[in-house]
Amino acid sequence: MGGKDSIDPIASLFAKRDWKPHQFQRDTWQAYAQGHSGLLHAPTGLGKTLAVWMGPVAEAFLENDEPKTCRVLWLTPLRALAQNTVDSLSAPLVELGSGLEVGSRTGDTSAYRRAKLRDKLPFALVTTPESLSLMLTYEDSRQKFSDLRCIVIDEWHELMGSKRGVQTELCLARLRRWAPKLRIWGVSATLGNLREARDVLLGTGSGRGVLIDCDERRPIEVTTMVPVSVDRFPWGGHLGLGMIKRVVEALRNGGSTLVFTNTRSQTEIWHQALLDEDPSLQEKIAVHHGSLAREDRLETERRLMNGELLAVVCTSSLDLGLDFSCIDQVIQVGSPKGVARLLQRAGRSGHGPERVPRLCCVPTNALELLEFAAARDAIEAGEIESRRPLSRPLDVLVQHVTSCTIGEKIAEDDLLQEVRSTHAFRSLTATEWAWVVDFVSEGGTALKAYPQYRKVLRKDGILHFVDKRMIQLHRMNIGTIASDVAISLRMANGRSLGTVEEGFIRKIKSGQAFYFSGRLLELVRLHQLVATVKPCGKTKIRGDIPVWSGGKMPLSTELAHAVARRLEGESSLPSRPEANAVGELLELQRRWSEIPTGKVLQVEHARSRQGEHLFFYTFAGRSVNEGLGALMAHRLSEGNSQSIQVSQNDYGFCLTSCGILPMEEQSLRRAASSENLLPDLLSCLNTHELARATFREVARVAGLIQQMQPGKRRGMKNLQTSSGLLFEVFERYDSGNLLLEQARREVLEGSLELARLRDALQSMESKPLRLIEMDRLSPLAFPLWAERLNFVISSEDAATMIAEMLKNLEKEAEQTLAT
Amino acid sequence: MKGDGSHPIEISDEELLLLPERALWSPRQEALVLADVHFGKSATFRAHGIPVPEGESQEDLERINQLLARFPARRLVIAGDFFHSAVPLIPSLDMLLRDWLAGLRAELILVRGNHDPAHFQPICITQSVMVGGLLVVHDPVAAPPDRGCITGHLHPLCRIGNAGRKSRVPCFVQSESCLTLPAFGTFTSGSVIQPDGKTSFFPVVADHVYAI
Repeated sequence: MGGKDSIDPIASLFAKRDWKPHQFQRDTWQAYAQGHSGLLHAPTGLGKTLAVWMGPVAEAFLENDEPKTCRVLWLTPLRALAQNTVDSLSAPLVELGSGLEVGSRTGDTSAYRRAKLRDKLPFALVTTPESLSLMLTYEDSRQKFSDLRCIVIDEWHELMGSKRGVQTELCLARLRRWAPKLRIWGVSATLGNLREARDVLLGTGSGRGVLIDCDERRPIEVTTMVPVSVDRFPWGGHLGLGMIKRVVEALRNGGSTLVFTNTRSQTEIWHQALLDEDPSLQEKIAVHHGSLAREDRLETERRLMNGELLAVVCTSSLDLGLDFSCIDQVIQVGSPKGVARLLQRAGRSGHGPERVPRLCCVPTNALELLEFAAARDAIEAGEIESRRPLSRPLDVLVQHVTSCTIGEKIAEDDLLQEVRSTHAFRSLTATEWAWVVDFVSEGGTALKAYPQYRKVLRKDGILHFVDKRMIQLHRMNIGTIASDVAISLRMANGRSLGTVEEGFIRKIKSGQAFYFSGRLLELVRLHQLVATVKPCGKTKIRGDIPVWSGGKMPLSTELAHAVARRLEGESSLPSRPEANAVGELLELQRRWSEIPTGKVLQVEHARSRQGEHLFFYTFAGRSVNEGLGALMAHRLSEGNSQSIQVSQNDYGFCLTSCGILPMEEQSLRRAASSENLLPDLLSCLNTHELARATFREVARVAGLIQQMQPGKRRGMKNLQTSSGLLFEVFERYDSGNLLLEQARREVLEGSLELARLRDALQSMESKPLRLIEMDRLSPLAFPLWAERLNFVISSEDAATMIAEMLKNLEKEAEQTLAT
Repeated sequence: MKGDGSHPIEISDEELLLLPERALWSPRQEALVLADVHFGKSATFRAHGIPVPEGESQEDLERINQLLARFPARRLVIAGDFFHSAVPLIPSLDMLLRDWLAGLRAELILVRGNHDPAHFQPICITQSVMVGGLLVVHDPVAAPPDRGCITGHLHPLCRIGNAGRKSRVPCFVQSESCLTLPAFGTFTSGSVIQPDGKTSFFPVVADHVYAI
């Protein structure tokens, strides 16, 4: 064994590869050797994996005999990455001639392989948070993981802030107690709050931990495709396909490319548009998004890596993941949405020494030009978004506590102490804990409501889960990823193409054509949860594009502020072609109104055929603007019967009334006051409806809704129900259930972003009001006005009205600009 | 019965009243018909380790009592799935149900649905029953196409409202001479029935049955 004799496997590996270690790698190895846990932040492509991996490898080499136990767990957020990770962890071991094994266990692992792993674990095991949670429920796990030395949480920034992150925190708390020599190492991409990310990961049980922040910044080559003519009245209704010729050119000249879009529908639209523009791309480009069948995605990834494909049009499904060292450039179509997100995507290209990531931005409307300019400002200034960790999600705790009591008796007090050692539950109250223990054992404190119910046995402060059938059901439902009702698409021969949302496919009639995965398909029939399709033979037909929900992601606060600074025309900002291209738009805005900035609260008042409009510019992001609009509409319409409608985008919101809107500063100020925020918000928004919808995820995680198990569904027929119905049942018969409370809290903190909303109101209060009387819609008001139409009338009518309004505004713009 | 939110219809010469309580009254036959109560559903969940609170079982029996107090029914016909599971009831629910049965003045006839047990003394369980000229069966698939039928099983819902404010509500569905009842049970949801041109919908909205 060559490895064992060499004192320093790291030195020999780097010598063999003729590489020189980076400082951050040395720091990480040293910190690990000294027994520290920590978080490593380094850009992609510099050798993060070796930095965290070689510590435990070197440790094993120092021992006289090759370790027989599992020493390293490697958590990856995407199970699709597991094999790729196994390969990159194995490579150095092979080079060093070591016999240490690396294996993986995920939801995709075969039953045979899983059984083998139950017998013996390899030196290092690559897995996902879900699979780890499941493994921890096996009776011999405590013993098997007792000699664990290191657990690596890859892409921690992806997990933090989500319930999967909390699930990971809880598993780490478990493992810390089981394995005294355990060190926890997170790897994260760029975040605004790296220190907090480290503290969340390590909890209170592993000492302070180190933060290794590699400040070697990789230069990025960024260009933006500036359209020849820029809309003066930006409207997101069209998708910037006018740039298609230039995108094709960029593909032809730029080498291997990832084309990122913001929604799954956009990937289909752009893929089709590229083919229409240049049919010779037929075999050279492909689509990749989360709704496609796994085999198809893998095939696309393989063809991309082999160089068979020139480009892949994708969504966030390729944000993370496989190290595509072949990618030369990244094209971002449409709004960057966030600074970290744009950086992450850009970083998918230009891996390897001497290469740099290349990013080409394709704006699809004029405002996105500003967003790209602002994103570039923020990247250069290093202003990156933070991720907020979650606090006390009781549904995750319900699942975890149930899991912990499988197979071994556990004392309530010990478990509480362990749970409180995580960041997420550090302030868990005694009442909440008592409720959770009641809920997993007897159902609830209201005994009458749960007659005959016993799940986890509880006696003298000891918990134990023994019912085999219930344990099996619980194991099948471990995890926190909510799966939507998806209809699977199949060819007549049974081949699966992926899934579409029920709402979309129900609207398609048999015989109708639609695009999916870049193919034109025809619906044959829809039966239960399977839609049978066949390739559509008709040419010259326009298919529909499936619409997947969840496409309207808000602009991050950081990016929104960066845009506001761009509008202010801060002199310290560098001149950028994107910003210059919107000169005419801004000129019109200035002449007809004023340019809204972050320093004043600008409100425009205009009339149209629909009535009166007030436009507020807050730069607060779409979801916050939605809340602000609803709140103001509610307060302004109190005491009079007229209804006020609200529309919003990332920059502001618009109030519309067919009656008269108040114009005095005092009433506007009163309506935008941050006082009484919570009660007013609760009474104006249909928080009940929202909570009912949010309850879906809560119920799923807490094990109230059974996940659809392919093939096992029949036996579970008696246990199928909907979350909305469960919500009502709980409200009626156990209204004190804390899961209801949690759903309401998630609505306020999650969907409505209460904290951001309060910040936005306070910032509005602190600024002088600038009320501008308008003769017509300003360029920035126009998209808010148009957004509203799409809500209230049919899309054909809306399109006609928008076109008409555009024609008039353009005519006036010509006159204004001519003078 | 004007003003109580019910809606009269006629199938195969039988006059029927669709009630917003998700049941049907046949004045001529003096029969109250309802379907899909799913008695004991939350208990089934609890038996599998899913903590769903009890409450719907008692509430549903009380709702039937209220209907029986308003309509002079000789017969109470359940068009299937009175029970949620063929597994014996837990003692407390078994007692609740037997007390209720003992106090019942109408004759109870259960047309057996896919969730029902084969026997439950003293309930009369049958495959089908006639209410006047109408045949009551559980599954619409089993309803003969050439005659008037009353069925359950589907838990039909329909979408109402316009863009943006859509909601799903329980409904009666009439397809030619076959009427399908909405699920009566409190702890039941359902699936949306797509219009196909031959189907009439009678949604229940805010204590009223409407026709569309």
